[in-house]
Amino acid sequence: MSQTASSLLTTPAHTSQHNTLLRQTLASMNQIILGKEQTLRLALTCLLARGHLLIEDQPGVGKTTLSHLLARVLNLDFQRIQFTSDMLPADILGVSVYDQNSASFKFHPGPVFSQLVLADEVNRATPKAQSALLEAMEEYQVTTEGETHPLPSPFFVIATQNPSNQIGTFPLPESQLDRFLMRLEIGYPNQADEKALLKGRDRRELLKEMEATLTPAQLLEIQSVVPQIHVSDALIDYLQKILSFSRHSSCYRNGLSPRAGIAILRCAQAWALLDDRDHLLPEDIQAILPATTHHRLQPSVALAEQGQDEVVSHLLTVPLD
Amino acid sequence: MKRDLAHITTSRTTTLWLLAALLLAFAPHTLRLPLTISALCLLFGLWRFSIERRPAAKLPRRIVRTMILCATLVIVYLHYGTLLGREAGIALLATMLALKLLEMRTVRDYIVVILLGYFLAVTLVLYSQTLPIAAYMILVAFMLTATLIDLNLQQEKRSVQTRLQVTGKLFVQAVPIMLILFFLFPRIPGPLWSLPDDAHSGTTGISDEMSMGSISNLSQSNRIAFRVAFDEQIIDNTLSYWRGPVLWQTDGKNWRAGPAATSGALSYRPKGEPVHYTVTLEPHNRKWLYGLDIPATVPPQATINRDFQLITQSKVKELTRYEMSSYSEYETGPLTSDERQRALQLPTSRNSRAVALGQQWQQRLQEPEKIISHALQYFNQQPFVYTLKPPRLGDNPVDEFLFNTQQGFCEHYAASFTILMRAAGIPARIVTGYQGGDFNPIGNYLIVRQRDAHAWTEVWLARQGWVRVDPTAAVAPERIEQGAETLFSERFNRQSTLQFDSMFLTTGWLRLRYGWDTLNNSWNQWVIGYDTLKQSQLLSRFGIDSIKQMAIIMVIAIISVLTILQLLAMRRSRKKQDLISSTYQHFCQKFAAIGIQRQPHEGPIDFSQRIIAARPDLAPQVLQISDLYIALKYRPRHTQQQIKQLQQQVRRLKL
Repeated sequence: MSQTASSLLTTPAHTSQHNTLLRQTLASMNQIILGKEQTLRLALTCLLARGHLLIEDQPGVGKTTLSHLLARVLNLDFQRIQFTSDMLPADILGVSVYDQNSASFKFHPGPVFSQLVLADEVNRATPKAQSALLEAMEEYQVTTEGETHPLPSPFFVIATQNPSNQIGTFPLPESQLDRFLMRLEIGYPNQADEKALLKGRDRRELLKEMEATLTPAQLLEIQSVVPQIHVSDALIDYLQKILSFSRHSSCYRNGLSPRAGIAILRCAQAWALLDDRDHLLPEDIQAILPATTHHRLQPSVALAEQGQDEVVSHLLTVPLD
Repeated sequence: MKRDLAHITTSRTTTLWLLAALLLAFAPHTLRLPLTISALCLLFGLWRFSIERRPAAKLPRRIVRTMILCATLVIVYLHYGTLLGREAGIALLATMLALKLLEMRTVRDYIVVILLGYFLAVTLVLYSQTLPIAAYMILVAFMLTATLIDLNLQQEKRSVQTRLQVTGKLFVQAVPIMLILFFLFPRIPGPLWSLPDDAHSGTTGISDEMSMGSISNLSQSNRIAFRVAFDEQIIDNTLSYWRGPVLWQTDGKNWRAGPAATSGALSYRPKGEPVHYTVTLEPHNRKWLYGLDIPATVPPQATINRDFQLITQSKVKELTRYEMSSYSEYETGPLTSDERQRALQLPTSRNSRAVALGQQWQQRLQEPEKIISHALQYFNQQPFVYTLKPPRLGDNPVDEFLFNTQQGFCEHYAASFTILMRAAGIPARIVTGYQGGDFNPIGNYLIVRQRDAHAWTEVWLARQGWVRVDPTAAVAPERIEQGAETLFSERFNRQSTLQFDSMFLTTGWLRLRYGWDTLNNSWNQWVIGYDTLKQSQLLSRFGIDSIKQMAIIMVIAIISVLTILQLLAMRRSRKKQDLISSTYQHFCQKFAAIGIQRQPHEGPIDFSQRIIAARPDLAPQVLQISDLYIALKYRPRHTQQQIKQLQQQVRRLKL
């Protein structure tokens, strides 16, 4: 905890300064991807809470654009890995090659050595390749041939999955889904926004003209403030009620893990920070609850025919006190 | 309350408070430290103070500090010839602490200085463990703790009021723990800190040597020698002779104990009932205790010798409390030939006129009893004066005193009388000690002060053994009957009748003085005197017998106190939360009545927005209440004021 970061809470001047930056960031993002304010805010929340993002949606709704956009406004270096069924871990992590001049093996870092990594269609690759990425996500470092290489900081992975057309895919198992802090859908734009999109300029070109609104250093600083957002005992009680509901209710096959509880708390804190507050409210938890629990919960047999969104929404009915 | 050190910041006020607290801790030491060292410490403190005054000024550089450090070490060493021991150690602590001020920059430095400040305050008890010192130390600790708390508060929360409030709270919470530690912490026999050799070296008191003028010097001192509580009734002043060293050997000028008494059983036949009493002796750095003439029982820390003197193994360096009983009437056993020889020893070269007078009496009167009464008559009828300021005497002090000056204090009378008796062939010796004392009617005990120091003579008579004869009583009977204080203070009163005109004022003053001494006495008895023995006596009454039990009960007691404090704090915050919730519930019910029902899962912001959508006219009040509720329930800190405001707002809300 650095001096500047901790004094953020006590001196409002700093907070508002950071908040201006965050507001600008959100505003520029909304210029590129139209009508998805809530989704963009959640994506940024996930990033501020130091988590990785899973996007499940149809092709063409803007998954790749969103990744490019985040890399652009946050001034992060960006790599895209297109996952295929013949992919090997070395394609992601990098390889050691014999160097004749120095007469030794030299490590050539793979595409994962980047601040923002887009893992496109992660379910196309074999579990072996998937787990190479997921391990890197968890450990923030890559170990090959006995050598450990730290990943850059900040390090943020956006993985995408195509929910339909599941033939020949290897869907991520629950245990690995849990590594993603949030799971988002982008969805189709509404009519007015689509009209603006169709009439407007090419999004890729617009992206190139965009200015970064945050430096990686500023991002790291804001990330360090997130855990300091005050959480009152009343809210801890509320969160525990939600967790206990997920574990005891007949709606779900399995309850939320303690890791999920921490994920909810961190995301809610980041959400509160984006809302320019130094304390958490029940509304913050409710806002990020679907995105953080959707991929972690399986409906019980009784609710099998309900949609996953509906299943998750039961959590929101847990009374406050 | 977890917070990093980096979070804490220092400020000018903190530094000034710290300097003030340190000055307070240091002030009493200036009375004992050499002037150079005190001045050095104050100089460093002032230096830091001036730096604090001018924001542009900088702390001295490392090389300068190192040079000052070396110079200071040399100065301390030159003063004491060592860097160890009590005096040099405290001087070193004080100077190093003052030097530390010149490099105090980070929070860690501040904390180090504050902790050293506590330590400096504690060293005060190495000199004195009286009630005022204890009170003063609490004051210093309070100031230092307030500074420490200030350091831990956030910048904008700092104020004199919070500082004092929090410190006061801490001190109150510490009281039960202090009591537990005081009563239950296993006492070590002897003082907790082993006092160094130089402790109490400057203490005045009766010594084992006497020369003309040594006791009258002592009589200027109001310091307390010991206090005595009698079990049944207080003894008559004329019998209250507190026996100290017995002096046999003289060169005509000086008196000393001489070689230790040879073997021979102690024998005496008491008459009447013994008197029981408890003495609390102030440290006097000598190897004896005082007891009422003559001791019947011997306290465990002493032995009794053939002179009926109570001898301790080591010097009395701490407040000592002992129970005793004495017989005021008695007959002692036979005299050994060695003792007879020592009791008749007379220097031939000096005081020839006095010796001649004694010899003349022996020839004329023959019988010892007659010689003694004649001698007393002689003192009574000749124009002898009892005075605190006798003229200086030369090489034949007894002759000069008896035949020229005739002004003297008790030692003059005792010494002359003994010489006369020895010349007349009666075995005699001088006994020193205290006589009389000051009865404190409030505390019901006797205070014996240094000015009650006294010397008298014992003569040996064939049928009675050693018999006490006090020649001073023949000259100034009021000294014996009323005590030294009355005798000399009357003279003082007569001189300043204006000030002490009113009887009421005088008695009021006396009452105050006795009351204060009673307080000090209780402090000595119950706090300072609470030693291993008292502790085990007290605790065995509750069935606690071993140190192990003591320690277990102590730990349990401390844990329970902490638990109770924690539970109380939790209950208070729980109560507060209940109040906040019920007030908000009330607010929700008001809207439920008009059809806007709060969902159980609905957060305060969502609910207030729903209300405002339905009833835009209520927006200001609803927003205010919602903000207050959020502040109270979800924000880190809130005030009692806000709870009241919330209650008020909800009550006032009309739909």
